[in-house]
Amino acid sequence: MSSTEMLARRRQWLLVLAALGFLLWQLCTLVLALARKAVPVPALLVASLAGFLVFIAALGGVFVWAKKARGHAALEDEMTRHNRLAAFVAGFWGMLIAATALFAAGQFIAFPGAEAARAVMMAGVVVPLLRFALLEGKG
Amino acid sequence: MSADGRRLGNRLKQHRARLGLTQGQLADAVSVSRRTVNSVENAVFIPSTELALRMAEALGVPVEELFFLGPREGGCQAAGAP
Repeated sequence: MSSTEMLARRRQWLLVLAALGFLLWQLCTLVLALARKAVPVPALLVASLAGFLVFIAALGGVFVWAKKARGHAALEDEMTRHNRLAAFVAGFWGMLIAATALFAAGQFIAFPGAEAARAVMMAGVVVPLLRFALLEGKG
Repeated sequence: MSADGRRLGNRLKQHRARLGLTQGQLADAVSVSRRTVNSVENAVFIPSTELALRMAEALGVPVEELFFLGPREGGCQAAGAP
């Protein structure tokens, strides 16, 4: 495997880690905010902290990766740009679907505005990261 | 696939094999990833005009020899076509 391919593979895994860490962090925070009385708070706090640390570590990894990736034009070729665009489009649809689902659910249960915004933001961050990683994994 | 139902085909693999190049070597020659060459070769990704020209140049053939429009899906001709 060439160094460019190794760097591409590393980027893919860093993005998956960042997405999963962010999802765990935000999901635990969301559950804590919505159902504090019905859930084991310490376990959720630990899971939330773990998700946050994974997210931060993955972001740090991306920073280090970006330094190593300088000079590798193939890592930013037209297919990568195409995949990034497709990932942003997927993120748009993810946010739209999340907002629609929350709007529909809001007819039956009350959601605080901040938590609804958090759920839409989760979709907007996690969906493009995972979609990009998935597209980059093909071929 | 194009608007008139024709698929973009290519002879990348044949010309690459003719020169004894691997996907990775062709990728290096045109500054893209091996994955991109593989996706173009398998008609999964349609390259830009610039990349098509760079690939044709690297393989030493005219671009229309490398890329072509296949027949229409279902094989019917449009009305008025020769």
